[in-house]
Amino acid sequence: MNQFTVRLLRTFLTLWGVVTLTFVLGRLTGDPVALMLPQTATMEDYARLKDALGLNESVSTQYIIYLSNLVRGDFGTSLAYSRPALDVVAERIPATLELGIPSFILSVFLSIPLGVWAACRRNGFTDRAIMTFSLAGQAMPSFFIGIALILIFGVSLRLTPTFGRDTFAHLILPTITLTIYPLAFLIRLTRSSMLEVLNETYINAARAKGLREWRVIFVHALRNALIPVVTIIGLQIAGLISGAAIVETVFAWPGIGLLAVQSIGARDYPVIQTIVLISAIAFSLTNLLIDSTYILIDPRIRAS
Amino acid sequence: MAARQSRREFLKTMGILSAATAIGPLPRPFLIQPARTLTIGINAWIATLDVHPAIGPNLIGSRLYGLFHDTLVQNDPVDGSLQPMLATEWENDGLEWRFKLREGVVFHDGSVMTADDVVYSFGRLLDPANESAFSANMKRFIARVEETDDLEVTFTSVNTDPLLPFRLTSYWTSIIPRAGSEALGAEALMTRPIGAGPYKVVEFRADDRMVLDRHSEYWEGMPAASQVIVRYIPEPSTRIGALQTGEVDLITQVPADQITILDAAAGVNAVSTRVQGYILNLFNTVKGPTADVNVRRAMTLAIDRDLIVDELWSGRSRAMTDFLLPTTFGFDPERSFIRYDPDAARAALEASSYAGEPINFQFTGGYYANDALVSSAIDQMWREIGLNINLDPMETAGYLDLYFAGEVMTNLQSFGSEADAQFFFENWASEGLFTTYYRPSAEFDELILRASQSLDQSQRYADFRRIVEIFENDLPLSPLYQNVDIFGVRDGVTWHPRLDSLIDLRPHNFSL
Repeated sequence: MNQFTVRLLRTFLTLWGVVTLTFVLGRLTGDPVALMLPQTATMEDYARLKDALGLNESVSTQYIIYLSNLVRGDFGTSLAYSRPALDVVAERIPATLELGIPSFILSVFLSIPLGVWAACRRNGFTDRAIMTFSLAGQAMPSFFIGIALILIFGVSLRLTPTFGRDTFAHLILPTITLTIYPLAFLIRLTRSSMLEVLNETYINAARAKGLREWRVIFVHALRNALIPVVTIIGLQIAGLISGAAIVETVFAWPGIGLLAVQSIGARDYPVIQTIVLISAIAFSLTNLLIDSTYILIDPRIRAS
Repeated sequence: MAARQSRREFLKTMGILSAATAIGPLPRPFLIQPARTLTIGINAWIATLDVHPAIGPNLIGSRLYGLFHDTLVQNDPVDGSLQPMLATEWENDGLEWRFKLREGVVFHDGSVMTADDVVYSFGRLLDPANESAFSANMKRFIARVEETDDLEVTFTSVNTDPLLPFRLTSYWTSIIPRAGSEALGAEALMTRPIGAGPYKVVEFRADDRMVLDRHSEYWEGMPAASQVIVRYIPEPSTRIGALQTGEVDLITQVPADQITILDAAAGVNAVSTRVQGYILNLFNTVKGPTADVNVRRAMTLAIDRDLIVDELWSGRSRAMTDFLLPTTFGFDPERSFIRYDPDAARAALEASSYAGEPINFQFTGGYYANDALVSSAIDQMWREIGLNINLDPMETAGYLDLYFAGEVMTNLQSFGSEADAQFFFENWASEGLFTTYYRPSAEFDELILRASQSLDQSQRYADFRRIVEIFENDLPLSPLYQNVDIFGVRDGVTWHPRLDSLIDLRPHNFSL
């Protein structure tokens, strides 16, 4: 078996693990029947609805039914929406990507120059200013940033809308909120990776050759410093599909994150399982892609 | 040198940023909306707009279904009494109830309501294949529904049922047209319902918005807004912000601690009403320390309800004095017996078998408005008389599992007390909802059965007062305070909240 086949098998094993874990964990927290009943429901109503939802079967029977349906592409029917779970999840993907893609682009294209700038001005004012922002960006939870932005730019200054998905202006605050954490994280990563590389002897050699400083930094240092950054960026791409539960909730953005929060509250198992499975597939495929790229581009990994 | 330049550049950049944010309010092009549109920011969302097979929880249904649906009978918005709606009058003859239908009621599809549409609607609700809990509930009371004239339907109840007209005020009994609905099909009705209500749904996007146009042929007159947009905004701070900016005109579920903030803000204010339900502590009378009635009596007497109402509800709620609300048939305004008396509470505890065992006080954290503060206050009041309380806020689904298993010792929960005491007390009978928490006496069961099937209102009133006495002795619960529904409304919107939670935009209740 070549390395690629092994990795593909591992990916399937991971996905099976995720499916099983989600299924079991969901059932461990109890059943959704009580949440679906009005306050005047009796134990008889409870039993009848439980039976109608197929939840009276043993967990192992439910699991086998779920897996056999899954391999046929049937993700189950949403308990809340009475529609195929895959349809319910799939129709939220555009909203989630609409928020995730600009945030991803912003965080990548701002973080690398800022990280490099901070590394080149190590311990100077620029470095401290960028690192203070980076530390604050990582320390502040997104619900706090989101609500603060709503109060400042929406309510006080009236510059932006406060919620919803309507126009371009509606993208501004949630995108900023969603960008701050990965931006802060990638800045720190780029900076530390750059600092490490800048101490290497080949950088001294490049400088000794009389190369211009920008060439030393962008051609010799940055290319090598980007390897860990690219790995994280790859995982971020995978994360785009799973949505941003808190940001989508704060800004009433009808994407997968908001659906996940609601489905967990309502114990809508088929929807929760579908969201987790789709996210897991996205992560696994991205990982597979990154690994395969390493095999192709790095001779040392291929040799081992 | 390089560092100095960077700092200057940095300061320049910060200066530009500060100037940009100091410009102040700009014109609001994105807030401009068509004339006479009302936008509502709502805290929860519904999965389907088809009422008949819909499943609970039902508060959000109570709020929204009445925007596009009407029922045969409605509750008075203030006292909950019966009022005509699609039926103009009704009469009872034993098991049979005849309802005269309003003439000239036009559905959203342009068809005119007849008795056949009512029969069709109840047929969907009572369909044996319909697994919804509402359907199961109605099947217990209604045997059949028949057309006895073009504009008359006759309901036959399973037993003599004095409350049948009240049952026809619930949103799941909404009337829809047969021809239009059959042509559309069940799946389309989930997003494009046809009703007889004041507005018709033209767009429904899950977890996002519902857009409704005015139903210009509405039987009660022309609805005030040309369009109503309902937006889903789960986060309370965002809802309040959207109200302040004018992006929405009306919001639901304003937290009690935000009332003063809203009232102080320009152009908006908080409006509230007391609704048909109250918050209570349920006691496990079957097992654990609360199985001793003296412990329950001590816990009931230890709570200063007026303090909770004044301090945590800005006086907008009402401390309970009875097991029933003043708008519930069976209430006695002359006799308030739920009181605060810490000395009597300590004496009751002294007389009990209680020896300091922990009492788990479980509730769903964040489920009811203000629940964390209220439960902390109660926890403190109970501790003060010497109880060993274990305050245990739980996640909703986990709590409900415990609750249905009969394992909760005491809790904080809301329960409806509608227009008639029967709706409240029947849940405590032997086969009722609380069977794992309370084992009623044979007398209680007999009284409930008699009241449920009697048409003699003075006898029923006497029966309910006797049941109240039994409860006073048994104390299966401790009533706390009446539920309050708090909304935020923009100036210029004239609208009144109702005791049944519906956002009522009918002509008599709403203008712009």
